[in-house]
Amino acid sequence: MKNLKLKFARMEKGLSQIELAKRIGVTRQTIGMIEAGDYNPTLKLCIAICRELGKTLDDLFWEEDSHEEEK
Amino acid sequence: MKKKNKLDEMQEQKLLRIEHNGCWFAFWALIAAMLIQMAVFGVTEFRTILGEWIVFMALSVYLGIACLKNGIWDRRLEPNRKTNLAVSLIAAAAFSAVWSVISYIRWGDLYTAVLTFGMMAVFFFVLCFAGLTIAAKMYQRRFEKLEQDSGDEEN
Repeated sequence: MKNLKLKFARMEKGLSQIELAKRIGVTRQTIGMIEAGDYNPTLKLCIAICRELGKTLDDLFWEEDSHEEEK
Repeated sequence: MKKKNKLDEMQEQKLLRIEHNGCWFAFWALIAAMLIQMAVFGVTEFRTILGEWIVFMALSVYLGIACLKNGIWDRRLEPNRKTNLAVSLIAAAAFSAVWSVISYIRWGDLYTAVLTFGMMAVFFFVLCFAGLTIAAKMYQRRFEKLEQDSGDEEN
């Protein structure tokens, strides 16, 4: 599932994927894949993203009425 | 049909770590096995190490191609000329030293062992440096492509 909350939060801050990636010390691929829903980040990375974007974990990573299906 | 994974996240991470350690143990154990067999049977008896050599090369080619395909170089080293030069020098010196010791054990002649060290050092250095330079170029191209193509569209 795409993480549109992250994408919109990043755009709100006026950051490109590459700028956000540089600020938190990851590659653009990683940010792109998180936004596309192709990669589940670790809690450590989630927190780093939240700190950089001034959001909480709930704001960016909580999904209403959904539970994780078995991969 | 894909079977359900019976491991939780923590167990999955631990299994990956165990498989990682097993892979690198096999890698270095194969090198050690080949060197020991060369010391015992001589460097000209290639047939004695053929099986190990095939497995070692298959493992090396798989690791190399999989990393390049995913735009991964190394956890700590940078793919630049200076690092490649240092790695090639260390690898060539280490491998030539082992090779010359094997030569000395087999023939008992110090002059031959020193000559072997010099020749093998130059040969392995050139081979290693050329290989690393080509691989680094391929990695950089692949990494840039992945960075451009990655995930969702920009902004």
